[in-house]
Amino acid sequence: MIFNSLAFLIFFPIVFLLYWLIPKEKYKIQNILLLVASYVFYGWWDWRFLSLIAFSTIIDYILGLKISTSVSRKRTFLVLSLVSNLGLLAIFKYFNFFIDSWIAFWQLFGYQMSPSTINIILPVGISFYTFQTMSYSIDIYRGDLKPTKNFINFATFVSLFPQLVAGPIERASNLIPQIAKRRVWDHKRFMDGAFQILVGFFRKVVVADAIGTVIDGIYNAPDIHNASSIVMAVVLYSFQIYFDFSGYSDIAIGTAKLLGFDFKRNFNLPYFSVSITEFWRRWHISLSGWLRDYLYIPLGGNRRGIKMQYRNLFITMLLGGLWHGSSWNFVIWGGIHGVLLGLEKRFDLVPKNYNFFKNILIFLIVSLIWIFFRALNFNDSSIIFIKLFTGEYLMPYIGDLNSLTKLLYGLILALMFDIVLFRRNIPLENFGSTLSKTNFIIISNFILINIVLFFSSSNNFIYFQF
Amino acid sequence: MKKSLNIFIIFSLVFLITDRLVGSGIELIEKKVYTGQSVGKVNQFISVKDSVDLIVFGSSRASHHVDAKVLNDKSYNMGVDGTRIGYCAALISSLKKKKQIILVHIDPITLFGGDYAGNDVLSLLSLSSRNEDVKNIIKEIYPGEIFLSEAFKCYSYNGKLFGILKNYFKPSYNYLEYDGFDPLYPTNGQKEIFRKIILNTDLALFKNNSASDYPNAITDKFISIIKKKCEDNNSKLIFFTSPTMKKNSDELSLKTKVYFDSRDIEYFDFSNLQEVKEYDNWKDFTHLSYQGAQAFTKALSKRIYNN
Repeated sequence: MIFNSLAFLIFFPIVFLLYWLIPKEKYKIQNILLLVASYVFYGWWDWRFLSLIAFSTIIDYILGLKISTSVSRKRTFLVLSLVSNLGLLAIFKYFNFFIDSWIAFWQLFGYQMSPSTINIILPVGISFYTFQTMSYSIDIYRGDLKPTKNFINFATFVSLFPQLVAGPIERASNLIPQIAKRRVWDHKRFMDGAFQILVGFFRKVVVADAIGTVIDGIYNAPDIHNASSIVMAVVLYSFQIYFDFSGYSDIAIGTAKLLGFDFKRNFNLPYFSVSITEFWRRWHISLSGWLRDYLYIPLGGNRRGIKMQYRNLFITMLLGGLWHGSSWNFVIWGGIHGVLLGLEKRFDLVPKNYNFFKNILIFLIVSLIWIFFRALNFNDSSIIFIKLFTGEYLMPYIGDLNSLTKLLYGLILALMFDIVLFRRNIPLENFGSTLSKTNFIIISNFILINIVLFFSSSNNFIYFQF
Repeated sequence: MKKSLNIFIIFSLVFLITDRLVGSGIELIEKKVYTGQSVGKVNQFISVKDSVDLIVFGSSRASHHVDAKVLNDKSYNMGVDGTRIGYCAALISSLKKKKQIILVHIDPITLFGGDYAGNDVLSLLSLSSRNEDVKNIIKEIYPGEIFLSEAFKCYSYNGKLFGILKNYFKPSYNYLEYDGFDPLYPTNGQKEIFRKIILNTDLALFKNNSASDYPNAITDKFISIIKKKCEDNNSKLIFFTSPTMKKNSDELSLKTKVYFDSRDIEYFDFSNLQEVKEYDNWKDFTHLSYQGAQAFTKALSKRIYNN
């Protein structure tokens, strides 16, 4: 089930009503309801994949307890947890990629091998919930977290439907304590959550999906488009992926708030960054934090000299890139970010006297790197770069004028709202409750009417593929 | 919770009122728009449909290819970009005039392709509030959409507002002189580019081979609706496929012909028309230029009136 579907618009109010009809003292029954609802939500795609999430849940529940109680075999149980989670990822996400890469490698030396890839469907959200369960085991191993003995609580933590398929990647230390105690209705949380859901839907269905209808054709066939069209697609894609993914996170965080949970912030106006380092502090914060705590710091972080720090940054971003998808393009995308992060430690990428342009320059750099992320393959990325620097700048392809007007209208509104958030320095997560009752009703209605008038047809969220 | 519930109720009421006000405002303007593809062409169709003798329905390959005035002085070309058989069926269901000639463009891949779900009919949601026939057709396939469009007035105008406003304040053309035919005039530069593309393209690669053995159930249903309406109106119904450089396989063409024969519906297949073989008859791989459209319309006319 996806958020921008009729199914979810029916599903959520039912769950919401049942959930709050249960007396707050019986929060354990609320948890069972959430667990069942989460499995229904996930099974809506393909019920067979429920076995994977159940497998991951059972394994990490048992191993979490074992890691905590065992002294001598603590490390073995942790390795078992990591192997089972990474094993799931390796089979379902990377198997064909590894095989294809292995064959391509030998072909470089003239050896011909027959392709033996098999048809594996990528289970939605597998990268998210496996990272979540892995962090649980690692935190217990490190002594930062005590394992929960309540299986329902743990299963609810792994599968809680707002964050199940595309994050935010919640830490057990934040979520399990909230699951393990009773939730009380909080008016502030309601105002914040409801407002954030509306903004999330607007960002996704009015802005991101409208951009998709204009630029998909260009990115899917860059060879037939001129340089101006490609520049337009490159710039607009930066907005598409931002509004798509932050929109999803907004709906997830807002939905969780309506159920009485506080998720961590996942986006903090990333295109207002003045450096690549800052960009990664503001973009997909739950993943950057995960990579920092469970990869970069264990590798040594910045503790073993500047050269090791460069190496650690590069490895972290390279693997961060691979996490996004089984394609060399993602590895290149992550690698370039790793190199830039390293360079930034040594040099000012944007000279100090050009401070005014820092935002724009960082936006342009990030936009250029997104090319590897969006292009269908390395060949297409190369075509795009060649055209950008050597192509003819003629009239861009704008397709249907009505679609373009709609896109620009939504984009301008969304950017204006981001500027308001930036200037007022209020996180969107807390914005709804800062409005007076009248303003809340007027602004929310304005957003909802615009959603109804300008939503684009239902597309999956970009991050579902990861 | 009481405070939250209070806000929710006020919010919902304000939304319902705003939706009605905005929706009614758009409806008021929309009714006066007679130009543009998304709304104006439908309004013009509604105003002329029961006064003309011949109507052409279909996608852009109908609107760009058939100069209906060559076929009949009292005619209208209701081809609209991106629409398919569902859209045609809904509009045909609204016809009241007897003994018309109804030409419906169809691509064989729509008939035998499994992915068509009939959602082109949803672009007529705004018309459904003032046309019962159209509403009933949409309701048969998408009852939920009719429910939503009745519950929320703005829903019917999704994605159309800017088009409506633009054509209201600055009409694209003089609709009184418009007969629905949208000829394409490629520039010399475009013709040259296209000539080069053709020289470097293996057209055999474009062949439509991937078709199911059975007709698409939704398409089949819409064809039945069209056939029934034409029988009721005693109108002459002809399905046709216009020329394309993306050829259909012989098997697909044959299956299409057999299908229409079995349904006792006249079908003309012009996908391989020799008269438009040269590249300067084309704008792109699937659309004829004005020159090509004239040659095709002539061939179509000959076929209709010889039969």
